[in-house]
Amino acid sequence: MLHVQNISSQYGSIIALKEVSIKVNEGEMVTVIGPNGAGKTTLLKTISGFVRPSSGKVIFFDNEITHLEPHGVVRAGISQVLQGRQVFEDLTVLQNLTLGAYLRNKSSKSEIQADLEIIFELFPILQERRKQKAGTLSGGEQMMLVIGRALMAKPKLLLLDEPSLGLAPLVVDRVAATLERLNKTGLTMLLVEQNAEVALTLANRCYIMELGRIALEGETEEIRSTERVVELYLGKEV
Amino acid sequence: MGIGEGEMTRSQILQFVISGITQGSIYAMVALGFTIIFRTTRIVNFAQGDFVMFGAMLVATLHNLFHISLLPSILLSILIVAMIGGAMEITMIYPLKGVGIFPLVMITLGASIIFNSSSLLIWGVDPLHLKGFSGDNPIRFYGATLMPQTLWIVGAIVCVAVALFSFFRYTKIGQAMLACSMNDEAAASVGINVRMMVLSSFILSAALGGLGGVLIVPITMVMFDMGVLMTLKGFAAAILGGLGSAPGAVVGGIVLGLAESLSCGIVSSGYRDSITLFVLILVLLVRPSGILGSRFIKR
Ligand SMILES: Nc1ncnc2c1ncn2[C@@H]1O[C@H](COP(=O)(O)OP(=O)(O)O)[C@@H](O)[C@H]1O
Ligand SMILES: [Mg+2]
Repeated sequence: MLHVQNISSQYGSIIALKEVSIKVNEGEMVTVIGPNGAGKTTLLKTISGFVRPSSGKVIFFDNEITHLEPHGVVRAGISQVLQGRQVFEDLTVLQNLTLGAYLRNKSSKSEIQADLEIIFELFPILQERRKQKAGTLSGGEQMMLVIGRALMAKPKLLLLDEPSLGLAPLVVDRVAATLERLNKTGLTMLLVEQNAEVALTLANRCYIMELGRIALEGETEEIRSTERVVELYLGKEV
Repeated sequence: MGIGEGEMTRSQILQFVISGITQGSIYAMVALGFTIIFRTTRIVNFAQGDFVMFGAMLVATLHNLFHISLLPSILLSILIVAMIGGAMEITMIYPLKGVGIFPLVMITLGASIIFNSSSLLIWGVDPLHLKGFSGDNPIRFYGATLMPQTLWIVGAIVCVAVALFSFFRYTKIGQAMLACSMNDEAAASVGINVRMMVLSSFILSAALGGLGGVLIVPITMVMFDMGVLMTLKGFAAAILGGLGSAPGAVVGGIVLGLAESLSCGIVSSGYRDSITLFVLILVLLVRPSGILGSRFIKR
C-alpha cells in the first residue's frame, strides 16, 4: 500500500536520508527502529509532506504522493502522530478530537459522533476528561489524545513517531496494547521507535535505520535473533 | 457641593464617558484585528491601522465622489480593504515563510509605509468627511449629548465581538485558525491547510479594520496618515487587554478610550496621546500579562 522508493532528504547541507526504500503492505504493522538522529522522524515527515525529498518517490495505493502538502497527504488517507505529543493545548479534549475529523466533509455529524464513541471506548479516560483543556492532561493521556485525534481522520495508514517517548513503562504497555488492538482490527501502521523492545514485540516487519540509511530489514522474528540487533538495540549481552 | 473651576459636573463626566467609549470601540476594533492575525501567525501586524485608514478614505470617496449610496459604499469599502489584506499576505508574508516571526513583523512595518505613501498619492493631504449614517442631530442624554453615530459604533463593536467569539468557538474554520496558532505542525497533521488559515486571518482582520474605518469617518477627520496613530492605539489596546485575547482586545480598547477621554477632561487634550503610553506602562507594571492576561505574554 505504501512504497517509499529511494528517498533522499536533506536540511540545507545536512543529509538526513540517503536512498531509503521501505514498503508497508495492507494490514501490516511495520516498524523502523534506530538510534537518535538516524533519520526516522525525517522519513515519516517526508512521507507526510512536511519535508520535501531531494530525490525519490513516495507511492500510496498506486498514486504518487511525493509532492503533496501535509494536508493533501492526510486527505489521501495517511495520518501522522507527530513526535512529542503535539496536542492543541488550549483546546478541550473534545475540540482536539473533533479537529481530527477536520477533512471529513462527507461524513455526517452522526458518523463522526459514532467514531468519537469508538475513541472513547478505546480510551475511556478521554471521555472523562473531554471538557478539560488538552494542556492539562498527563503525558500518557496526551498520547492517547493524539492517537485518538489521528484516528478521527479515519486513516488507511497511521504513522506513529516514537509514541513511547517520555512515557512511564506502564503507560507504554497500555499504549502498545492499544496499537496492537488497532492493528488487529485492520489498521495498517508504520511505527517509528527508539524503544526496540516494544516495537519488535508489536511489529510484523522491521527496518533498522542508521545514519540515514536502512541498515537491516526483515521479519521481526529474524531481526530479534540477529546478533548485532540484540547487542545494540535490545541491550542484552550476547 | 459647589462646582468650582476645573471640577466636572455629572453631565460633563457622562459626556467624556460617551466619547471615551466611542473612541474606545474603534480601538477595540483595531485591537481585534491585531488579535486575529497574532493568534493565527504570532505576527504583530503594524499595518493594522492602515486598514482603518483605507476603510475610512474609501467609504468617503465612494459615497461623496462617486455618489454610490451609503450601504453599498460601506460594503464595497470593507470588501476592498479585505482584498488589500489578502494581497498583503500573498505578496509580502507568504513568499517569506520560514524566515521567522521578527522579520515578518518588520515587513508589516514596511507595508504600512507603502500603504501610507499610496494613500498620499491617491488622496493627497486633505482630510475627508462623511455624514453620520443616521444624520448628525445630537441626542440629549442625561444632560450630555450623544451623536447617533456613537450608537452605530458601539452597536457594531458589540456585534463584532459576539460574532468573533462564536466564530472561534463554534465554527470549523475558527477552530482551525485557533489550532494553527497553538501548533501549526499539529494543525497540518490533522489536514488543516495552514497557509489558507494565515491568508484568511489577514483577510478577516483587514475587513475588521475596514469596518472600523467606515464607522469612524463621520466623527473624525480622516487623512492619509491616520493609520499610524490607529496602529499605535490599537496595539496599545491589544497589549492592555492581553495580546492574543479577543475579549481582552475589546476591554483594552474601551479602557484606553475612557482613559484618554477622561484625561482630556481632567488634564488637557494636549496629553491625549501620551496618556496611551502612560496607561500602557501603568497596566503592564501591575499586570504584565494585560488585563485579561493571556499566556502568550507570560511565556
Ligand atoms: N529541522 C532540522 N534542521 C536541520 N537538521 C535537522 C532537522 N531535523 C533533523 N535534523 C537532522 O537530521 C538528522 C536526522 O534527524 P531525525 O530525522 O530527527 O532523526 P530521528 O528521528 O531518528 O532521531 C539528524 O542529524 C538531525 O540533526
Ligand atoms: Mg525522531
